[in-house]
Amino acid sequence: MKIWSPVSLAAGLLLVIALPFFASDYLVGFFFSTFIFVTLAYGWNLISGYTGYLSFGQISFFGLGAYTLSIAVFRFHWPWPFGVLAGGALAAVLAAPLGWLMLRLRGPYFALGMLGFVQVLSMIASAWSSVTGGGEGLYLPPTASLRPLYYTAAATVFIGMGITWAIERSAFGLRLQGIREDELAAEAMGVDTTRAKMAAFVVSAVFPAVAGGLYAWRLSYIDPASAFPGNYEIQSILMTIFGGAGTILGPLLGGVALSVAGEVIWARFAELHLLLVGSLIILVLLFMPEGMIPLIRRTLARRRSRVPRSPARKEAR
Amino acid sequence: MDFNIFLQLVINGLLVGGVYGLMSLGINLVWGVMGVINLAHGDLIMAAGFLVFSLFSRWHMNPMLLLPVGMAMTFLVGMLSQRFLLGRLPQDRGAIKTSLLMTFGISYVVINTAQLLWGNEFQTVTFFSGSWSLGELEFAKARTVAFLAASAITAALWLFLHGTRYGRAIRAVSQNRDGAAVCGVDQGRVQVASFGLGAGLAGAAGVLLVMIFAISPAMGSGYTIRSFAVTVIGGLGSFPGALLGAMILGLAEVFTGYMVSAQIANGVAFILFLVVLLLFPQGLSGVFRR
Amino acid sequence: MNALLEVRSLTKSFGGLRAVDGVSFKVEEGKILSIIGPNGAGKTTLFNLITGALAPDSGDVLFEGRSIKGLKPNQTACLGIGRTFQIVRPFPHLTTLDNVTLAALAKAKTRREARRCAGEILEVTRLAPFAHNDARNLTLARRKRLEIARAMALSPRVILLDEVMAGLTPAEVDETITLIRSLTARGISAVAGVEHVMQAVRKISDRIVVLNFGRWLAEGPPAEVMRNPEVIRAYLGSHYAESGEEP
Repeated sequence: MKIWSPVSLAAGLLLVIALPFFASDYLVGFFFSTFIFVTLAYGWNLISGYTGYLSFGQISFFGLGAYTLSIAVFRFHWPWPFGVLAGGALAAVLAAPLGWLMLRLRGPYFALGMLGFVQVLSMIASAWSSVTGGGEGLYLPPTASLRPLYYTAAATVFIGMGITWAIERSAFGLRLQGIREDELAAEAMGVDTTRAKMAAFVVSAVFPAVAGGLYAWRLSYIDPASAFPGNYEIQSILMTIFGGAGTILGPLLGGVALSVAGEVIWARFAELHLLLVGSLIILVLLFMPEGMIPLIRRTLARRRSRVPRSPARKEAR
Repeated sequence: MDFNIFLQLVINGLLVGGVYGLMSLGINLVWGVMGVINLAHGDLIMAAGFLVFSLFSRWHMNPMLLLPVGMAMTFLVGMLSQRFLLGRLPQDRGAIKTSLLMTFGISYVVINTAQLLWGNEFQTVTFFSGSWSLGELEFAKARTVAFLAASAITAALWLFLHGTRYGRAIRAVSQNRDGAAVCGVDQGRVQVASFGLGAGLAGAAGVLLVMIFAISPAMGSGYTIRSFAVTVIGGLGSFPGALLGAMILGLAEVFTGYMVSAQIANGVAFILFLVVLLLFPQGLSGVFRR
Repeated sequence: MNALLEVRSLTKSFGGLRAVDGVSFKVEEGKILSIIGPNGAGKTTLFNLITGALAPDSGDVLFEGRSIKGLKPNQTACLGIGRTFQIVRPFPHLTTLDNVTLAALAKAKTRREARRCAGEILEVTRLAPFAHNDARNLTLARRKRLEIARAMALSPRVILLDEVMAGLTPAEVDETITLIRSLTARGISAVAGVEHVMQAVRKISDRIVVLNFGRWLAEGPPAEVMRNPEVIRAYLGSHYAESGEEP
């Protein structure tokens, strides 16, 4: 059941490309932020939505990317695109041994482990002031124009979608889903779960790292608090769950929907932000745990089939 | 290192370990009985600490008198969370993940509420200042009182779990859920009570903690990790293990803080957590059971 | 000629409990071996030892003449040992087709090839009408067939069937027997771990191994084993042994 088609995809693409030409800087900046969140969401979607390993530490890679960009620009005077790419590469390199360590931990332990890893990186960032600027942070040359950043972020989202799409249709994707559904059974069916998990973990680390690099460049400043923003973690998770974890469009849909909603609410209830995000997670888990995409799909399927129930109907047990 | 300094560090570590033990008992209980990992644990600790701080600021009473208030608040939050939120989740194979996510959401609700009510600054309650001396050694009053209170609560908890019908029901559910059901134990109620109790213990720990350290609402996750580190070190479900683990963490933090830096000391819990999980999956109590 | 699968003096203890105690047997190509024994006799542990989900304390497992001790479950699966689980473990949110496709990936090179192979297996196991249903919506009998289908998708040389007929109606048991027979017709061996369902065991087994408390008790063709007084006593108590009644 396809919700999107080449036509809607092309339309969306055109809209994204055209936006900076008719929208205000504020709006462009808003969509830039949204794309950052959506990229984060795609990363989480891969390791948690498809592979089933709930991670609460994706922003450790986000911060890594942010710092890599900052250090590359500040200390080595690299052009910013190389800084962003370097962040992604570094995250992939770090994710391999980290994943080897962490993925052998069962579900809740893995979640805790990743949560703690954020603290460790934050700690290192504070302590290693000679490189990272410590608590004071680093000030980067200000960005002249928002457009390159906007387009890069948009491209990242499309790449993220594309990678997710490719993975979902592939043998690799099916293996990941098997791991999510029942890792022991997957192993009994011949899946090398260690290799598959690690690959997913490494790929899922690159998304937040790239997002972090772009974010840092936009901010023109980095310090431990801004590199590892706790609310980014929970927001990207909420977006994925709301949109539909383990789907291709879920992170995009959830990201855009909640960003727009967030803008409206932020304007009036800034102090309630985390409370609302937390409450939304609770509500989504209670009332629509599978997210919007599966819900939409089911509604469309039900509307299209007026046929009497087939053997496909739910049977008791 | 001077021997006296060494001893002093040991004392400081053990005293704080008492509070860490209390923190972890809450986790241990909830985890053991319901298999739920409560990511909001540390934030409940913070919330209780802040509640007591605000009451203390107004009435300047002995924080120990406010201990029941802090406990009652988090106990209530815990029970309501289980009754109306966590308890409503379908109990299928994905339940552990979903409840994990939900407690993650609850933790942010708690943090933000605490910030709204009591601000975002670091606060502490200075009531027991100074220390008692035993020769060259100093027993900081706040830490000592906290240690004694934590010990008393721990003992009371042990008595409750082993001596009362309700406590035994809780232990039965943690050992064999269906078996307990067959014996007439109302699982739903036990779960609500257990989660509430676990949260209440977190509250107690928070009240004691705010007497010793300066805390802020954002520090919750650090204490969640500490609680889990202690539980993992001691082994899930083991009372003596938890206490041992707490002492180890307390000592490790104090010594690291002295010999390296305070910042690194914050990360000790996580490192211990990882090391123990990877080397001793059953925790230290698992090592001894062999 | 080498036996396809051979188990030599396998032993596994958990704490003080000897779950499997020095068990040995052989499985020939294309034959059906049933392992029977009361619950707790060690059948599932035995299967876990063979597939590599558990490591034996001592003893060896030989497949096609070579030791497979120490291999992980995914490795033994790719070598050609399929298994079903006593408590069925389908991938709940994946479709029936995807469930089998995943297993087929062990031998197929692309997902498309695997899906095609899976489709054929669904035909054989009469699950094709449910190909696009989520596995969690299947009845128990169909889920059991799905377990077998998945194991078949590995293109195995031997399938370990753990209590695959438990909880089924007599009609469903007969269907399963037909399915198992079709496997051996294709040259796949089967090792069936069974607790009761004795009529079925008698019908399909070429040989039976009896376990009791993890230990080998008796072995032989069905008729012979069923009449063995030791077996009768272990299984049904002294009443049947003494009275000489056939169970």
